[in-house]
Amino acid sequence: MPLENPTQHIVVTGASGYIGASLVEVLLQQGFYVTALGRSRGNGSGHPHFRLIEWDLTARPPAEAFAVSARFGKPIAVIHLAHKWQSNSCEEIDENYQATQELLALSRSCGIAKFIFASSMSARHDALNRYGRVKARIEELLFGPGEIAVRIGMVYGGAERGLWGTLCDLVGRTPILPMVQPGTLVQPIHIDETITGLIRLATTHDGTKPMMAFGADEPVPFCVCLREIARYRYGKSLKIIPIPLWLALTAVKVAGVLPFFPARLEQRILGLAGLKTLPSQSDMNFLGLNLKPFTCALHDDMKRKPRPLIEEGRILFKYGFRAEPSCRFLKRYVRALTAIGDPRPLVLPAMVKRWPALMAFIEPFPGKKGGNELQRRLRFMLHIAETTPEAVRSLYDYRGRGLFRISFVVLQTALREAVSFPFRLLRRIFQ
Amino acid sequence: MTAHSDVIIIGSGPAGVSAAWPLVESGVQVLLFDAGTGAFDDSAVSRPDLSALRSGNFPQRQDFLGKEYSTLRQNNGVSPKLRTMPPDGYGEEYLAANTLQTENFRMIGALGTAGLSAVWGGAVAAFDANEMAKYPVPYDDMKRSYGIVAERIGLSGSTNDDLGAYLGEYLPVQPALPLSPAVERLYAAYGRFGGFPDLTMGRARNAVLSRDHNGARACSLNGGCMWGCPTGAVYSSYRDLEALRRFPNFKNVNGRIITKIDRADHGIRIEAKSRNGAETSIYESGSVVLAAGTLASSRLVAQALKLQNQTTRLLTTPGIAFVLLQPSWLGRAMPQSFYGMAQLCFRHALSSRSGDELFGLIYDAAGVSAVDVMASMPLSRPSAVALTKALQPAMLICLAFFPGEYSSNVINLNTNEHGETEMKIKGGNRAGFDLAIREAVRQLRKRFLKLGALILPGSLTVLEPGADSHYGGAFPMGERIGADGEVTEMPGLYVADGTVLNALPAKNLTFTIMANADRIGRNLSRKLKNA
Repeated sequence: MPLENPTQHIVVTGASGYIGASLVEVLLQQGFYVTALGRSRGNGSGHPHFRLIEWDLTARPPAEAFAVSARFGKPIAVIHLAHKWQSNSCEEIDENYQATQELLALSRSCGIAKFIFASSMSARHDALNRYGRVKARIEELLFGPGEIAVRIGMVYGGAERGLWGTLCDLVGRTPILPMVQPGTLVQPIHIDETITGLIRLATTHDGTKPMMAFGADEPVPFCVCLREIARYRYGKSLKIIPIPLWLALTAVKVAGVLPFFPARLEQRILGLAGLKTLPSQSDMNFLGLNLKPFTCALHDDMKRKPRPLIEEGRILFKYGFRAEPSCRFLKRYVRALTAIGDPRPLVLPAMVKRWPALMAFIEPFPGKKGGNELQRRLRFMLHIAETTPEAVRSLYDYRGRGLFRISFVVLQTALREAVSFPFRLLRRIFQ
Repeated sequence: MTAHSDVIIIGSGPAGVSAAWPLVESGVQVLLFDAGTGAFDDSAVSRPDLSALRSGNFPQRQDFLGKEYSTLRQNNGVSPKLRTMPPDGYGEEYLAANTLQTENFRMIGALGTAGLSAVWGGAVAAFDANEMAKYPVPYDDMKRSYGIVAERIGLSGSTNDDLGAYLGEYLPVQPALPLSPAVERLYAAYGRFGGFPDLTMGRARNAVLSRDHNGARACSLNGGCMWGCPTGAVYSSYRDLEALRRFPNFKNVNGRIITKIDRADHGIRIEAKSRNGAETSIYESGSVVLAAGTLASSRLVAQALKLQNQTTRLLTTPGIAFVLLQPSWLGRAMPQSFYGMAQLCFRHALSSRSGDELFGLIYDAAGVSAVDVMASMPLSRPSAVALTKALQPAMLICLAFFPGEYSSNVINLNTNEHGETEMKIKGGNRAGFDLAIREAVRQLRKRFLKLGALILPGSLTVLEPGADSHYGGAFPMGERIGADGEVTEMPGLYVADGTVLNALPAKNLTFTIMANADRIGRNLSRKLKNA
């Protein structure tokens, strides 16, 4: 769907949020004029096609945002992303509901063609959290032509903000995570895909449905997402302990009394518990979006922040050669893994990370078809090591060290193996 | 688009070019299709000696790991050669292009120009009259073609040692390449012992030049054969393809996969798709020679004849590998310059029945990456690194093959509603194969011990069915296909590769495929001339 006129004008609320900030950046890159309605400027600051009109959700939306001015033409669409988490009023008169109602009325009176409201996959009247219930009520406001509620799944990737930022932060802090219904299915969608979808929706002239689902058609268990994040970002495994919902609710109620407990965390915990999936394939096809698998973004992350892989390379090299690897080796190790598309870091026990020699006790015996992950990575490490001068001399003998030295090596090897062999055997039996 | 030519050849591997030579030389217009880029992979040309690379003075990652780490993608422990120099279009892409499914079968095939010959080790042996007893072909014709191919590609080895006659003593053979010290010791012991009734040994016969020949350079004893030959002394059909391109009546079309073969008004029509599937073109010719490799050709034959649910056998030569330790070379250095592929070969009788034997090749382990050598050692990696460094100079690697009758692979061919032929291969070995291996290794252990070498305990690896890559015999001559390679039900369509072989002895089959393709091409050119 190509743009008809690249100098079109779009009004965005929540422009400084996780999705909003990236959306504004992309819109400006693509030649749009952007009016941000909100309290802070976000990413558009200083751009000639950008302006901020101050607005607080509790106040009346300013009509000037929609009026034609010297620089800004009539907006073609409103993308309403803003959400106020902390409320001082009861659910029936929620600020978000009121604000959307007023914004929509203004948009209708100005004859804006599209009104896109960012809803959520958790939007349901019987949702466990207020967030989901409010979103569901707001959706009911939209019934006119060009008014679309977009139910967005789990947005991930890009800057560590929003729910994505919380998840990245959370899995980094703890090796054990208690969780309500860890098998809950979520529908991930990359932030870039979300933005492309929103822009296409705002600019398309084809008739749209009043409700669109944004997310992978094939859902992923939430605990799998968390484990993968833990693995890619920190090279560690994450234990997830399922806890019953009543316990979580009680805990949240107790914690809710505390003044510093973030309201949105409570909302999110509850939001997940009651989540149901929506078929999204036809909507994704309509927008021409071909979603990449969840792990792709994590793969890409490895190119920018390969720290877990560097650490892994260092540990494996130290184990194999009992020496510190060179920078050249580590660089090649990381580059090779990303080049062949397998940059998923290994999970190694903390003891092995501290003393790599201990790996001898857990190294599996060679098996058929390339063996397990650890063996494949060890083999990989050796292949890379073979291309570095510091290791290649430990692999080949071009001088001839004499029978005496050889006998010594054989004896030493036999002794070392005698120590570690029983442990490896036991490990194998128990697996 | 329709184009015409006297003869169309499908495939640029050893069979395709061997069939092309007699036709091109007799002045026939030849159009040769292949799926590769047509370009020679020259990444090995400027590579220093293996020993220099391993001294750490040339820390070039491309030399060991390939461009963009390509050699680490196929890290599944098949053959070191397939890891170190994976051919173009090897693996998944080959299976997809040929709509192939496998079960218990390690498929080895390549779409690239020169096919599998791009990674060939060059082991060469002529089948003798007994081994060709099942072939409906006069042995003298084969003998003549063996000679012509040998003259063209250049062989090295020996015709007057214990295996000279077995490998073909009538062939023109350049002097054998020098043996590396650890191998030399084994061969010297064999010479002193004077042979056994059930084990004979000789210099390996290779399609590797020890002298410059027909413009190709001789082996420089670089040692890095497993990573590709820097001088081009190891034969690959690139060499023939380059020579053929100089003839005005020879044309080569690259990047095409043949999807359909059909009857046309005057001969045969073929449908060729570009590698990405975007473009389709149609060609017609009076004669089409299939030489796409046994599996691809078998599928195309089935497609042309619209075979429904047809089951045929697929011959392979089941293989084993083991490590020989030469204790007298322990503590000594690895060789600085040597030939990295088979230096010796042996023949071990499995029973008193003629042809029931094992054919083995012996390599110096120095030519293999230490990482591949230690891959199957049950030791922890630091121990494996230390032990490999200590033992590798005294290690020899043996690769041995059983005759085709020990294999029992089955191909199922079926044409679906779109007119595409699907192929399923189910790999297997005949009953009692495990027992035969155990018995053979037991005997060999005794024999080698007499020669002062010991089979390293735990080093025996039985190759998966298909991993030997010696495929043949799906449509043998004398059944659906005549002795001249022509498909009886579709005159004008010829098959000139391993597909038509009638039986496989334990020996390597490539040289026979080439000679048979030469014979088929020669008969076809005679027929075209008479017509």
